[in-house]
Amino acid sequence: SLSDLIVGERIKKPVPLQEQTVKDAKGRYQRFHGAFTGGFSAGYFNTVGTKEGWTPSAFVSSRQKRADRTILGPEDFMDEEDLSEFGIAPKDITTTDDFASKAKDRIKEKARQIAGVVAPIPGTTAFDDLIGPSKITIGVELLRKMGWKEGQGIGPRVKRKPCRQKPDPAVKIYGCALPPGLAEGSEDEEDEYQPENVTFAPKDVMPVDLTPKENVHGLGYKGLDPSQALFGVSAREHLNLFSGGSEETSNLIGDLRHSKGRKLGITGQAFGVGALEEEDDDIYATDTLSKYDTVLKDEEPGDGLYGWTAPKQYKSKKRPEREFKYIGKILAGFSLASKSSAPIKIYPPPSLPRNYRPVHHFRPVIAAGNENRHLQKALEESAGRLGSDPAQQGRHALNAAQRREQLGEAELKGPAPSILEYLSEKDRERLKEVKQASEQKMKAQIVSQQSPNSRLQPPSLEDAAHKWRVQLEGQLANAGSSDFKPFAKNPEKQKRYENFVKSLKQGEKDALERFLDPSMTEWERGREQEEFFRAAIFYRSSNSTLSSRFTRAKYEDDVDKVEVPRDQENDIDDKETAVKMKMFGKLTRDNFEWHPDKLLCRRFNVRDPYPDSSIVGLPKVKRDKYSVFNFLTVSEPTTSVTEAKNEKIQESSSLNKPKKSSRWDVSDKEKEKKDSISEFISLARSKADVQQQQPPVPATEECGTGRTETLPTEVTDEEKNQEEESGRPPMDLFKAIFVSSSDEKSSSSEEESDEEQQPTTSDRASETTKEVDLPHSSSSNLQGKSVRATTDSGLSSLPTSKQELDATEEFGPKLPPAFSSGRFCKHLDRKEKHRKIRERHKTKKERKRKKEKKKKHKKQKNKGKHKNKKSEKDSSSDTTDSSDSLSDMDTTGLSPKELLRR
Amino acid sequence: GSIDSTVRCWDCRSRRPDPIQVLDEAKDGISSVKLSAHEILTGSVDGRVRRYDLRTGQLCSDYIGSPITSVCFSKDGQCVLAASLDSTLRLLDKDTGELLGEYTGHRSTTYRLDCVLNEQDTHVGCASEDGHVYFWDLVEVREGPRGGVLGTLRPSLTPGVSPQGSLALSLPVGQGVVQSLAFHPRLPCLLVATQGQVTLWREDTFQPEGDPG
Repeated sequence: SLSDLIVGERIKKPVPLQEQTVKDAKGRYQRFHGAFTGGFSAGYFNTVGTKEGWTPSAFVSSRQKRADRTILGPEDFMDEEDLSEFGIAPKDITTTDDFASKAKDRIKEKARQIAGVVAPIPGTTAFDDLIGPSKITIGVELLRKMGWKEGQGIGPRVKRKPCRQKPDPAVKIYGCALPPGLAEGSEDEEDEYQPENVTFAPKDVMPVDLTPKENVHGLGYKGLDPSQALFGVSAREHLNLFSGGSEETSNLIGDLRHSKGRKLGITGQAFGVGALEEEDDDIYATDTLSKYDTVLKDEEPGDGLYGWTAPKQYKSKKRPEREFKYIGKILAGFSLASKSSAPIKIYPPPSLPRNYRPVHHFRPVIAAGNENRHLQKALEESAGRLGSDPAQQGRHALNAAQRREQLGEAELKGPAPSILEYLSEKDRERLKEVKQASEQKMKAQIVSQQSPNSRLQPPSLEDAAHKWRVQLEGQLANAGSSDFKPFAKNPEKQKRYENFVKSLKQGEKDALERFLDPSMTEWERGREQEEFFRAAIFYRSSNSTLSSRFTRAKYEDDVDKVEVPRDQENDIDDKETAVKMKMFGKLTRDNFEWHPDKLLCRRFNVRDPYPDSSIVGLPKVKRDKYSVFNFLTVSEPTTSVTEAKNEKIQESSSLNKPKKSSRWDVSDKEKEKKDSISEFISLARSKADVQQQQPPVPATEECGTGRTETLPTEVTDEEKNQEEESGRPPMDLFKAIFVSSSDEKSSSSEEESDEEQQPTTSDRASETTKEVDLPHSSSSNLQGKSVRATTDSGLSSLPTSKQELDATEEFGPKLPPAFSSGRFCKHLDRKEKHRKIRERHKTKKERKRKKEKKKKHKKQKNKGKHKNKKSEKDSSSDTTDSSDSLSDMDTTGLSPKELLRR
Repeated sequence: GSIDSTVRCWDCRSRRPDPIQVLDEAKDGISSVKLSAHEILTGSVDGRVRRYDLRTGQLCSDYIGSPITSVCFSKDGQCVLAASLDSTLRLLDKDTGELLGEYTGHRSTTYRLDCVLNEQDTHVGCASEDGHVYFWDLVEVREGPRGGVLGTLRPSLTPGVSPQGSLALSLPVGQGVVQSLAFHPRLPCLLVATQGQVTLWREDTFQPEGDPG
């Protein structure tokens, strides 16, 4: 087909299934006989053996030539492909699974893996590995590894020839070979040649069957063994039940059947004649004389059964006891004893005295003292209490270090298992300080108490113990738990220490003396006691110090997969910078999907936002515990102060939520393309209050204050303002943003805004606000100026909107600008009470305005700071404040006095 | 809110002892929890204000930086006030997380001090470690001596407190740390706890019931 393709012919249509044929190696059509195996492909093209048909085999008369007749097996009727490698009866010699090497066939493995991937359910081959049939037991496998083969006995190989299966059942010996002397004696005659170096495996041993009889068959009945029936074990075996006794007679008479040596064992009247049996003369059982006793003897043959049939085992019972005393294989070089040894005499246990009580009296504890020490030591050792000598303890009582010592292994390198090793340098220092401090305190006290004694001499045990005990009184309660091992390097000492602390805790006064090593000198004991006390004190301080350092692990140690939230809060560094820049909002905010509990939603009377989800809380994913991704969080674009990025973010926020856009967003939208302006905004946001804005068009009066503080940036600011003026978006945008909700107002404001010329908007706006402010605010000029300052500082959209609002709504005229937020005005204007409801609907809008005002006021605050620097401005700001407070009081509506003053 | 950095929600009706939901997103102890109709607002020592919105199924986490001591909603539910240990109060927009206002002047560096909004959202208050309660104007953030409106608030116990300080108002309520602070939800009424003493502050014109004077 490849050549066809190359020639360029059209690809043949696929052959339909029913027309597909299979041919065998000879080109014959193969028909499948049988569903699974393919069956026999019978004969020549499913007809006969050859092209010519059946060739009858030449007739051979069996009358004379019975002997050399051929026995036909199933193979004789098979085709040769059946005998080939993939046939049903392959003749090739291949290694069976039993003898295949355990190393996996790489090619097969590969094929299996590929099959596993390609399979409809990937990975199913894994189950095959799991559920493999057990072919042989592990014991057999082990034996095979040791060189055992099936049919052999177990044991060392022997020199002599393997025992032949003795055909004589009468001398059957169960399970063991004869003693060498006997066996060799009988076999030497037959063995013509036995090489020196050849050894043989021992004979297989059939274990004695001890299964109880549970059926109702006669004793010794075995049923028909098909293997014996089919494959020609001599029929004599079946009858060996009787052979024991009647052998001689049958030999005498001569049994025809036995001498014939038939191969096929199915005989008897019940079974008929099989197709493969060539003898049909025996269809009906013919009683032979051999089955009967022909001679009446005086005595029974010696089995004592008197004609009863019995299994042979039973017969063997009658042998003398000595013979089957030892059943089993006798080792080479041994032979069975001819004389049994004298039976062992068993003496009865002694009778207990009459007043015996089965209670154990412990030996008395002897008080410690110099004279008693040896006795005490002996007692303690005999009681196993001291336990200082590992050789005297059971091996279970040894610890690793002692075992290591006994085995002569080297000590493990690496960090000591003391917790102190894990502490940082600083903490260790601190611990050391604590320790030293306590030590010195102790020493001072000891020295002071010791003064009569000589300083070189260690304190006597009683004195020191007493002193220490006094100091330890309150601390010992929680000292010396097993976590703290000050003498970890010396396990015996550590053990002594632990015993000491334990008994101290129980309040035993003479504890230490008992647990000190009696083989030490007095001086050493004194030292060690001091050490123990110190350690007990030290433990307390270090314990509390340490426990505050550690906390419980969040994840279990032995799990390698943990659940981590899918979304992690972002890197704090970015946020830190954002917070420093006071750029709250997008940069400092993380939004996650969060699934509240269903019951929680019900209790909050809120519809479940994720009715279909089963998760609660943050969505989690399983990850490797030590995966690096647990520690990495995908960071958003870095929030450096680059203007472009800020701009983008703000832009996106303003675009995404036009309804909620703040004043800053609006201004950003105005100047999307201007980096300088946005930079200015970001600077303004971060309260770069050095920037003092200056109105481009000088106000009427009192603008000198601003001017005096004019900074070098003024010029650039003005430039920016001009840029902004030229590049401002049309008025419709502001309308869309600010005047969309209420129709009647929007209509009026539209008219108004239509009249306005864009370049002059900011100026007019400032004027309007100023005019608005003038009648109501005591420091109108100042306010107006400040408003103008903000207006002209590049945020001119606000005043426009504000003007619109002022013109249409109730807010502006009656309030100082500081409190022109809608909420307060709402309280002010009783007339407009009916509008309240509508305003409720416009909360968003109000908030927008509020934010605008707030920004503005921030500016004012900046301004105010500058004013604070100037003393002459204080009064005016004060008045402003009072006016503010007035309005506040107004909103609260609490003090009529204040109203009056206003 | 717990020091084990979880917020646990129990169901009072079912009387089950185990919480129905545990909000364990915080990395440090929870210092403050506030509820609105459909939100759970938590402030944590890890410097974040987290708002769990049950209606939208969202968790908004705002990073403040300094450990949060107290959070509260504004009355209109649109803003979030957060007091932190850098002696600053911050007013954040609830929806966008933007900073609407910042209030400083008090001292809060060690203790968990409360912050409040007054009954009309006009002023922001916070306890301080210097024995005062500070009030700022919500919208007008300005420093400098002012004749405060809230100065007319007078303590019921001590007469004639003249407002001092650079803010809208600073009420000297005691010598030590002002431990707790609460504002009446509808009336201009302030409850302050300091040094084993709880004081109630009302406006000047307030006449206690049963007291003719």
